Amino acid sequence: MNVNEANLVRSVRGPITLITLGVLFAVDHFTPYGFEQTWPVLLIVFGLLSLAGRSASSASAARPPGGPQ
Amino acid sequence: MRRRSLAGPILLVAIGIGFLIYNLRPDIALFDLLTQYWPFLLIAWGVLRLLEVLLDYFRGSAPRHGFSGGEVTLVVLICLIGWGAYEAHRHGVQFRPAWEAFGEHFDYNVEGQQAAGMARTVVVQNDRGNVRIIGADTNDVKVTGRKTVQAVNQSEADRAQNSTGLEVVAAGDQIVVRTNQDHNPTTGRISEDLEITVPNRMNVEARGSYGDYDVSEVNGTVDLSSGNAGVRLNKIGGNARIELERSDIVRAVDMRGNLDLQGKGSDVELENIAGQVTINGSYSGSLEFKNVAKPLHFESPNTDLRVEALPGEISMDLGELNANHLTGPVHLVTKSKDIKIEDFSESLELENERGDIELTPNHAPLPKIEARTRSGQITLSLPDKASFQLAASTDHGDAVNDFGPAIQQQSDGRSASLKGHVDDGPSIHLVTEHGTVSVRKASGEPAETNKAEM
Repeated sequence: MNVNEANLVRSVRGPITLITLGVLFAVDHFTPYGFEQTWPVLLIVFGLLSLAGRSASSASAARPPGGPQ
Repeated sequence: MRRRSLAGPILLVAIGIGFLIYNLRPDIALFDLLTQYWPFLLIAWGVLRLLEVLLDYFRGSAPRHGFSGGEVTLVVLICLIGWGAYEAHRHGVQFRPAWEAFGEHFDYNVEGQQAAGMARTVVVQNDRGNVRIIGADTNDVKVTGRKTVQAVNQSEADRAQNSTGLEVVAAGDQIVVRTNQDHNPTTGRISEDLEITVPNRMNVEARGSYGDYDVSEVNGTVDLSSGNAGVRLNKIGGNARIELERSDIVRAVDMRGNLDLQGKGSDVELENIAGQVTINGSYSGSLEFKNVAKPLHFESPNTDLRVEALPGEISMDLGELNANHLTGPVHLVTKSKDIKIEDFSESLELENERGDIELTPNHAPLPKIEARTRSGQITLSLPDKASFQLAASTDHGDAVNDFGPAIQQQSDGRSASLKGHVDDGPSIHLVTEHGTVSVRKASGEPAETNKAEM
């Protein structure tokens, strides 16, 4: 396990949001599914990312004291 | 110490390449392309940042921070502008960068004429501009029109004009009408609106990348292809084939031959078609089909519709389909539409994913019916004296029956079904997973509603 895990999750948050946004707009332009229908995907992605962030930080918190933060 | 992302420099390179393409190849409608494909810029940017982050992580170096405030603003700005540009583009607005407006427009008259002789086909090659073709009782192909040249000054415009003369030439059994816009040595845009009179016995063939087509009173075949065009056909004797990458409207009226339409677009209007109709593509606007004498087949990414003939009409858009007076067998598979079909014969096979279905076959003998939807009500209104065999069911919902004890009703908890027969008639099979299934009398007598026990 890498100490950077929580950091990693935090730093992929932006790029993943960006990709999701791009994909949703592409879906809007090229398929009959509009952005007004697909936007909940963004919520789901935010939720999953924050879940991942939580489990990563609790994993590092469970490390024995003295370990690197 | 935070390292800078690669995104900035790459963006700079991309912008440079974009302008270079724009300057060297004015025929590529870069800005039109951008209005459609900009979401992939966001995706590329996101993937790039993701790769950077992962690379840092596996190297074990400290990860970069997330997006800066500037970047977030930029993303929001791109989304807003891209979205607006796309919507405007969809509604027919053409994008030109602002500095092109500095050029002036210079107009020239163009004309040409050529005796058709034994030639059978007129081929029109006009890259940009509207073309109107009219069949007449004549032996000549006659072209008149107006050319608009965009240039910074008159001499530049004349230079463009002189190297892009209109040609009307006989070649084999073709008469070719060429505007030679591709010979333009300047970067200014040329567009030509042509009006072409052709002997009405001839076939018509036209290609271009931007501009509308209006073809009428032609007895031969019509073959059109364009990158972006509205098409209007009126009184065409032969078969017509239309291929469009994009269109705001395709309208065909009074056709004696077949119609074959492919591509993407918005509205489609067909009326009085004596031949077979085949449509393959995706259309986001409203579609109206009226009076088609032969089989009609419409196929889009979400919908597959076949009818044997259409004495009545069908109108549909992305969310709705209304049809009246169809000659079966009718076959309809679609994803999410509210469907209303009245007066259809022979048989109906209908599959829908999400949306209500309302069927009113108002003539005996009834057609055979097989209708399914995953989520939505199914309502079948039958003539009072109809004879049929019914099997209808819903997994989550009520069942409503107007035909009394001949039809047995069962319900347990959430699901309900109707089963039985009235005399001996064609089989009717209705299935929904979520929603009420009703079999009504069209006269509108009160229903014996037996709701499922709650």
